[in-house]
Amino acid sequence: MPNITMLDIDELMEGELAGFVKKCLRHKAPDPAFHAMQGHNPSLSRALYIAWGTVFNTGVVSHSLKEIIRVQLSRAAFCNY
Amino acid sequence: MRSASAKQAGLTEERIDDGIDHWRSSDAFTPAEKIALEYSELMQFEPAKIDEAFYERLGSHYSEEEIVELGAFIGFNVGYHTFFRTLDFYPMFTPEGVLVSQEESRRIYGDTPGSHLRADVQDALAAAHNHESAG
Repeated sequence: MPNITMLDIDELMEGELAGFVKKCLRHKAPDPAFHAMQGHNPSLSRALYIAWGTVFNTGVVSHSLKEIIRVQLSRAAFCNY
Repeated sequence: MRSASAKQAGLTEERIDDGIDHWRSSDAFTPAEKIALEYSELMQFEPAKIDEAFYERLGSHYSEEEIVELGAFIGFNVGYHTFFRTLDFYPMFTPEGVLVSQEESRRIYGDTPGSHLRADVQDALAAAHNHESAG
């Protein structure tokens, strides 16, 4: 069981984070759990998604290299995410 | 689950595993890619080793614009994965991008994070497919 409540994805799709959750479903990264956990604070979840998504999905460094690094750091932290 | 754009660009699970476990010895990565993977590994485990000499080496492969992007991305993810690990949840996506319950996700990913190509993950995915077909 997660250590804080995991919000329901259908409920998130009806709230102010709907557009961001849809992006997770379309782009497959980050996992929608990003908002299911942080959505308890919607404005923070939105701001973090925008910041993280900007550095992940845009920029001048190879997106595929960043994806390898994302998985590398996930495993290093024993996170399945 | 992996980024759809990265997969569309040809990134495979084999390359991800190679990049994590064998980047030093692999011929599949350029010197620039290898130092980015080293940067990430050091940031997670030995940040004190990222000194002026390391940034000089990094600077021979990347512009300062690229270094800032790489460093910010790595910093974000060191923090995120550490935080998310403590929350003790499983991905909502299967490795194939299907939304599943926490119970199902735990069955698929197991207790130890690792390659999506490992046998226990593949077996759990096959079992989930069989259950779906039978249902």
